[in-house]
Amino acid sequence: MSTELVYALVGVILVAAAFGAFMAHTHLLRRLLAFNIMGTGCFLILVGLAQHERAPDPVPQALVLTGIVVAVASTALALILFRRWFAATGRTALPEEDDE
Amino acid sequence: MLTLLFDLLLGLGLVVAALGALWSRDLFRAVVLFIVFGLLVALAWIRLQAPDVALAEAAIGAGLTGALLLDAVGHLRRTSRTEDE
Amino acid sequence: MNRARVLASVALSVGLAVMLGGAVLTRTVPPFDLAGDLAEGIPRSGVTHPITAVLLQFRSYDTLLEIAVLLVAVVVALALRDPRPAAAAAHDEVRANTAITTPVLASLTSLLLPLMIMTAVYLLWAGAFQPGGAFQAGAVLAALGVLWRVAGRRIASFAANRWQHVGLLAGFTGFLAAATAPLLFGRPLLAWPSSYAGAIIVAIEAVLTVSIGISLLGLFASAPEPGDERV
Repeated sequence: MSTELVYALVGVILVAAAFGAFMAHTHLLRRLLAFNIMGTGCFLILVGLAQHERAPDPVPQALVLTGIVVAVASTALALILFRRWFAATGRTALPEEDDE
Repeated sequence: MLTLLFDLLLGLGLVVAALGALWSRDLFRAVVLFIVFGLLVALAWIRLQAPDVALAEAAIGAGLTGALLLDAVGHLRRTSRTEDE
Repeated sequence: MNRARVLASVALSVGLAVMLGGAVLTRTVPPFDLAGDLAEGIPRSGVTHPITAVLLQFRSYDTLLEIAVLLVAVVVALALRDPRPAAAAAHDEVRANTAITTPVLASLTSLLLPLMIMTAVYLLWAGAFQPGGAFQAGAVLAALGVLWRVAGRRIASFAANRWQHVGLLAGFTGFLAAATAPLLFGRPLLAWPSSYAGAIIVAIEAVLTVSIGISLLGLFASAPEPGDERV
């Protein structure tokens, strides 16, 4: 088991755990955290699997770099939307599942 | 062998930090654990021979996303506190 | 949260872990060798660092679209601000109330300004031959802006300041202009001649750094505050 495979499997665990948390929670901020952790897990799988038993590969690394910037842009926008939603309705979950 | 042990420990730390961020009862603590998670992931990127990604993850992934989330959690607290009064 | 929901989530989570884990462990080695092809192509790219070469030469289209995504996010964030002038004053008040005003932070923000700008410029320039580049440099600039805002200084309010808007747009429009310029000479999109490629890449990265810094700072600074107009 090489270094890269360890991190690829860690990425698998992160994706699965974050997906479960995304399904279970209704609070939008918690869902956003889960979404970010899922994204990071995907990046780890991408680079870990590409570099498993091969040389360090700049192409997936560059793709992950792009992915990190896109993730922060979408997180920031999601937070702004969430704050407007909270200011307008006082709730932290979407209406169809507001049982928290 | 020793490096593999380090990687396994770091991986375990990543999973523990992520589970804490996902399932912490207090939202503030969850965001702090998310920042910790981000910094540990930056270490993982170093181990994966990706220093550029490590730089970007530490600055943008952990730093800026953490600041944004802390700002939002603080805003939630401020707003619900004034509503209680 | 109810039991059924938690149980279903755990079941889905475990199922996903098993599926993904199985896929990761049983993957077949792809027949191509991207790293090798890349190493052969580096001399034509104009830079020596492989990540920069991938980002701004071989997959420059992805980077162009990424900057577009960032720009769209900032534009939407700015569009969702409360347009009333009273709201801007309220924001200033919130910022003054929540600012950290210890003397250490005040002097530190002044000292860090030239240092962080220098670090950002160095990261930008160094990206051509060692880890670094536009995104890392832009993140350092954004961090400087966030530090200033947390310390209570008035920055990135995007009120009527033309230069902030120009800085936001400069990255994407500069990159787009450089991307479409080869079309005028009969070459495909983004196909720069090898002799100029290095200079073009550094120039694009420079405007990208400014744009990324202002965009990330703008995303941080556009957060709504209590008292903003209800939707």
